[in-house]
Amino acid sequence: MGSGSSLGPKAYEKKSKLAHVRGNGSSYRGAHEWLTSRITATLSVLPSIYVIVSIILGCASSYESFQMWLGNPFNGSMIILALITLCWHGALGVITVINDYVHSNGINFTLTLLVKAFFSLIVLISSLSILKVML
Amino acid sequence: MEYKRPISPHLQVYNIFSKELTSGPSFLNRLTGMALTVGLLYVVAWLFCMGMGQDYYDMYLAFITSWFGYLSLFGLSCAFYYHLVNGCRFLIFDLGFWLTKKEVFLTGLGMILLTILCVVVTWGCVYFKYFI
Repeated sequence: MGSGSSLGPKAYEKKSKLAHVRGNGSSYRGAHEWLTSRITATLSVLPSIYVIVSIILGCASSYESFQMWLGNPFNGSMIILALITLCWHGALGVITVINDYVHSNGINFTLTLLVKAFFSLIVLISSLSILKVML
Repeated sequence: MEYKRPISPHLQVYNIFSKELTSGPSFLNRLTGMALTVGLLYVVAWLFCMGMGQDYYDMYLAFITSWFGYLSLFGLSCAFYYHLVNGCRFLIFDLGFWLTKKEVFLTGLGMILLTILCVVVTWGCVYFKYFI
């Protein structure tokens, strides 16, 4: 046995096979943001296309028609779902760009917090506006 | 707090205008993504004006049907369809398909054509519904 074992780390590997299988890359904590950004992207496709097609068909061309359109709970749900997934995806994207191009750790951390607060606020404002019209 | 996450290589490393359609579309994907976060502000303003009442909604409609509103909507629709179609292409890359040089180039071409088609169909529908 000894050096022929396939379970232990080889001399040229910096991490064990177990760490490799767990998916911990050079960041030591997995690829959670990467996966989340893909999942939110996939989930946002159908709701946002539904909303865009509805807008093209004229659901928002006047106050009354938009009020009537939002009167259907399915439409309101679709637009809130699109907003949550898109804002989540957008926040992850902006944070990735900040991490790539802002090299000062303090500014990086502050901007990350600001981006999260900003996108949360966007979701909150839009959802409450929709709920106000719906209810 | 120290960040140890891997970051993307610097832009100067790549030939962005390479005809192999590898780094160029990726860079443009990030650029359109940033443009679309600005577009989210249009959406929030739209819903906020709806929540504020009829007067505000009419003001928003007046803004969005001005030349500047149409111009930004056109730009945002291009960015949206590009990000959507190219994002689907990248999702397929992430699943491990279409990764040879030839397939990357061909799907890149198809992605550009599909984006143009989506923009043309969208604004064609708008034109025939509202301007004729």
